[in-house]
Amino acid sequence: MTKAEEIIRFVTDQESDVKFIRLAFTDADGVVKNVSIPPKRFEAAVTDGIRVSAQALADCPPETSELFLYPDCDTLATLPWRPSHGRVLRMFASLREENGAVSEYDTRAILAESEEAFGAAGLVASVAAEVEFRLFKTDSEGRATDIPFDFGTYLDVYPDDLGENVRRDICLYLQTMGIETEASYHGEKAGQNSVRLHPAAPLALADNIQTFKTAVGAVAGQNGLVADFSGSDNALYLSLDVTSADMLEEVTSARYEESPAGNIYTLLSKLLDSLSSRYGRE
Amino acid sequence: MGFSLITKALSAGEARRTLAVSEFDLIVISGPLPDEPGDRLAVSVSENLRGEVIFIVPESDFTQAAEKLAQFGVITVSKPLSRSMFWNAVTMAAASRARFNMMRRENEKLQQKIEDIKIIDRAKCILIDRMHMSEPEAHKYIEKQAMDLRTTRRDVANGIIRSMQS
Repeated sequence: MTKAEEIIRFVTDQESDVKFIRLAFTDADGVVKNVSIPPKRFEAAVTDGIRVSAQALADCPPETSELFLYPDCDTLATLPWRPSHGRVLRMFASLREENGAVSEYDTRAILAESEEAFGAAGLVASVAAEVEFRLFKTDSEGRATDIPFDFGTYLDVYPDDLGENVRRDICLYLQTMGIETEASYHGEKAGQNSVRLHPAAPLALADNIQTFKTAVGAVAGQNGLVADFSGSDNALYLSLDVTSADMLEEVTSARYEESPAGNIYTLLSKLLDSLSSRYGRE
Repeated sequence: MGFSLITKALSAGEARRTLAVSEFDLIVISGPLPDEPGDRLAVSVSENLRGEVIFIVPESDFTQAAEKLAQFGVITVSKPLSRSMFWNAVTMAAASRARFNMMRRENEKLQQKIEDIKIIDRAKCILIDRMHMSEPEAHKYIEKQAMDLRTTRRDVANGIIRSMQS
């Protein structure tokens, strides 16, 4: 049985109690997007894809009207912050044109290609990330305000830092999903928090960052807060360790400071490509 | 029965922020709230075992809300609400909390027992591997040590594990 067939069987089984499957992807600006489908539509999603409007997504030329989401069956995960009665599963999805070809707007596919080319050049990269975000209160109507959740500063503890439980919930949810975190603490600015993600291969790390952003958004909401990742206040630190493909030789290490709000797939893809041309061998 | 440290919140958001930082035994929600009807907050608090929840809803919403929320352990009451009805609900919530605490203590005891068994098994394995004892011999050995040294089998087991690490 293929992975897709296994998953089809799992989600359509009553015992599995799957209520929805979220097909998640990232738009050109790096924003996490998704479409939810009921389990009985999953098989159709695998064979025919789920239609989305191209115009609404990216700066597509007017000729491209429709794109289709195809689930990547290797990225199945349960969303632990969704209700216990009635699971929600998540899968990353690729964006394809009507004829089935991978769309040039699928930044995840672009990173996958870069990683493959990187390997072909005899290199392997391990990437760690540290992501900053700020938490703001909501008003009585539930809308975001510009009032930070707390007024703590770097590495503060309660009561200057009020985000300890929020950070804990985020890290525990991620751990349940198989994403290890290495450290978390209060950042320099009011309401700012920082979480370090365990090193992983570039595509996996990029996926983890997107999952992380989704988890942060969910936990913030559960706590009457809104999370902000904009680059004017926050940073994304990436540490890349490059070794030879046989892992025996250290080639280089680099550290980058970027905006957490950008498209992480595009960013890593460019980094890999430039490292590849500098250090790669044929 | 008395409750101290009563905190008020004017919206679900404010309530969630308060719960993010402090612990409570009882949460009373008077719906609808300005930022949500209040049922999501009620379920969220109850499901995550953050405290007992009394959800007060307008009479017109009562039947539907009560049915839906009961499965999450939320006590639903309709308004207008008399003082005595409110106290009935509070008493029920307190009783529910007491039962929950009893079950939690039982659970903690069971968890401890499971931990004990794991540690004792590890020690037994060491005795079986390194000292060539049989399982019943290892079991008896740990028991006798615990009796002779007037301590628990877990402590004996930890001692065995530690001595193997040095």
